Amino acid sequence: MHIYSLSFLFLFLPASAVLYYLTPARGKTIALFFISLYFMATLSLVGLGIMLGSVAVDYLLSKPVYFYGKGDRRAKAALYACAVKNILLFTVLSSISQLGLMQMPVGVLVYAFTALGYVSDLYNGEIDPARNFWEFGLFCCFFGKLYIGPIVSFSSFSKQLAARRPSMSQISQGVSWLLHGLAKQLILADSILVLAKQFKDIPYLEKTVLSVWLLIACYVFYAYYSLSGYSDMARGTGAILGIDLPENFHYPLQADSVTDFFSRFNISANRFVRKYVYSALGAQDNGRLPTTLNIMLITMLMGLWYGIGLNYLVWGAFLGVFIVLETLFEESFFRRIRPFFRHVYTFVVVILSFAWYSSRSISQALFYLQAMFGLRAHISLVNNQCLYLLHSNWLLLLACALFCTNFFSVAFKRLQLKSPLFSQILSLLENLIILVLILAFLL
Amino acid sequence: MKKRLTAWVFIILLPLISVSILLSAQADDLYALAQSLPFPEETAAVSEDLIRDCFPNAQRFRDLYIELKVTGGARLFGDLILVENGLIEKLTPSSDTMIRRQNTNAILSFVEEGDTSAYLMLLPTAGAVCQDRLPQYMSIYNEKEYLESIGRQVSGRLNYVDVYLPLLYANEQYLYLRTDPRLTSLGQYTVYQTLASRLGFSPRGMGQFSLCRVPGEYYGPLYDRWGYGGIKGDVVTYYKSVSSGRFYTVTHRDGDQTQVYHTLFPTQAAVEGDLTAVILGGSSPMIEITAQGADSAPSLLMLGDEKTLGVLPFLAQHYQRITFCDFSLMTDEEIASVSADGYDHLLFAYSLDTYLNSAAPAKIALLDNSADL
Repeated sequence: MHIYSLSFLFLFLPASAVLYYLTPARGKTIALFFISLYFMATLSLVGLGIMLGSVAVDYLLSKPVYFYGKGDRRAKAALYACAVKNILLFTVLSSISQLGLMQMPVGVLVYAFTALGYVSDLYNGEIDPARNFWEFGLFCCFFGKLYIGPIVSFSSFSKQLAARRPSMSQISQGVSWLLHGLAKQLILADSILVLAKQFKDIPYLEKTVLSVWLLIACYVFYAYYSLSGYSDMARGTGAILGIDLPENFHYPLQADSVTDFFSRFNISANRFVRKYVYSALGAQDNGRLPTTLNIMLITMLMGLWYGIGLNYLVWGAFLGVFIVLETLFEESFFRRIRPFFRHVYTFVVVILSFAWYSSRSISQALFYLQAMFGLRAHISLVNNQCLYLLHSNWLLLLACALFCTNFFSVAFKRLQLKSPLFSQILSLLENLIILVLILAFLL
Repeated sequence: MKKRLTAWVFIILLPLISVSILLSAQADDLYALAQSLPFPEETAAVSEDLIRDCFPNAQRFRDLYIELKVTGGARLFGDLILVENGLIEKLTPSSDTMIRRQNTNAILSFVEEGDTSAYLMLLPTAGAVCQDRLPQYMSIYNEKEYLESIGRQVSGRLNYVDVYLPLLYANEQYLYLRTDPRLTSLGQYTVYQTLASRLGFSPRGMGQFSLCRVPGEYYGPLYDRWGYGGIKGDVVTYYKSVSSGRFYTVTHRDGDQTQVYHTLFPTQAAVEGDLTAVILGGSSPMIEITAQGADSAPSLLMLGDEKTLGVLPFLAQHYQRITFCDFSLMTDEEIASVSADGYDHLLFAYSLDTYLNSAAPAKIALLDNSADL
């Protein structure tokens, strides 16, 4: 049962909410932990086994880290063991799934790196340890955030577990986030993926400049709507159950620089990498060359966040080059460009970068990049096949382009200030319409 | 003011829908769900199916999905193309090109062993004939090119009948059914005019037929596959000869079963089955038509499929005896038992879809051709 299924929406979620709210305050953490385990069990029993094993090992490793404290070699050894175990777990499972031997279990990245962050914070003395295994387990495995995160810090999560008083407005917001997430995933991401495949299926000799641009743009939209959809669903289920999770995608396609794009795209993962890798390297104080190398390292690591593959690594490096250039020439050149052109530049660079992200091999990515600039022999600008796909999917493309901006969000916030009651009614109507549309796509 | 409205509405709405799903579920389904509970993966699959089956007004949501897609510009759903006035099946030739080559080779080998006038007619699909009705920029398989190539390939070895151009010239008319890939009576008549000329007859004029309509609306297999409504049904008509003075016996043979009609247009078959069964009583593996009142008229063996069957009532005006075989519905033994002996004409009449994607035409190799045709 996926989070975007009918059984989740009409059976699992209502039943979980009822069970959770009927459980006395003392038992809520355990109840939610077991609900999360059951959710994982509906996805894959093997995945559940791996998750439980991983979390249990991390919990055991966190004990000596806290007990011996920072600087002690036993604590350090436990921290390194935790880091190696989690990186290996993700790498091995990702590689196995890429070889087609097994499907990648849902949530590996999230619970592995959530636990690693926890143990690291514990080592640095930034947090108090979890009160018990259930609390640690729930922190790592809360079912809402298993897909893509957000990856949260234990201090903010545990505070919420201690003072859980969900309000009706929080539940309203949760429903809205959940529905928006479902709509992003089911209506936009799934449909745009189908279109991307249709563009991809055009034989190489019949590909045109426009068809390749559209193919890559489709992948950009797919990545954004799919990942941000999961994040919205996570925030929504969290809010319905009284847990506030942070925003993970803040209109990244509206960024006015690649640096800005990077900081808006998967915010929590970005923070994680910055906190545990970037800061540890002390990049800001080390001069131009180390800063450049560190930025490249960070962006390449962020690339690997989406999968173990050369294409993801190059995707990160490609964006990294532009981030370095922006960092080096920000004052002297970049800030002097008009905002509109900065947006255009960022969008084009992001699309070009996704030629790497969406390719299976380097040669395929190079083909796409050459085709995008008409550098392939006999490549035409446009043909009927491309126009047909454009013509038969115009509304989808338009919707994808519109909803990746904050236009509606800003308009709604203004309305909220002017007329709170009307905005509430409008919000309800919007959510009901979204529910109907989601059902049309689900049924 | 706090935002509570959405929460209250959804707190009431979602459980209400859940309860209505459970109430409308069959006892067996609920039992299956209860039994699956110890196995979470199975529970998820069973509950998903249950909700999909029992969701209130599910069909309306499915219709909405199609409406949204159509509004967004989509016209191709699977292999069905939604056009202004109906559905057209998109022809996708099998990637296994051996099928079509084997069909052609088998037909040519068979014909070369015999000694009679043999004809090949391949019927194009609605998509190729009515291209101007297809969505803008949609590219389809080039049937014209293939038909021309097959015409060149068989030239001099058998008589190729090109019906693509006559149909194309008349493509603004109601030639193909809206909910069925088959021809309308007008389409059949258009094909007949060309075919009869090539077979050496003077085609009968339109004035020699009266147009009869089968009561009711016909919704064909494309409509069933479409499943979303919004398509107008077809009108089934047939052209009945007004002055032939002939009496026909139509015998359907399907294994051991035999069905006899004493007319080319058995309306009772249309009442019992689908409306298009008014043409000869529908499709069968083997159909024999004999005409009384015809003096020394020739005989015809037609090997075809259900899409070309409709032209037979017109051809029956010129023959004393016609045998129609649909190899896709016959066993190898049944095909081997058919004799090609004693016919004046041999006609291979297949829809292009069958010819490109089915090995049935190649089964001609099984047919008894020991005697000269």
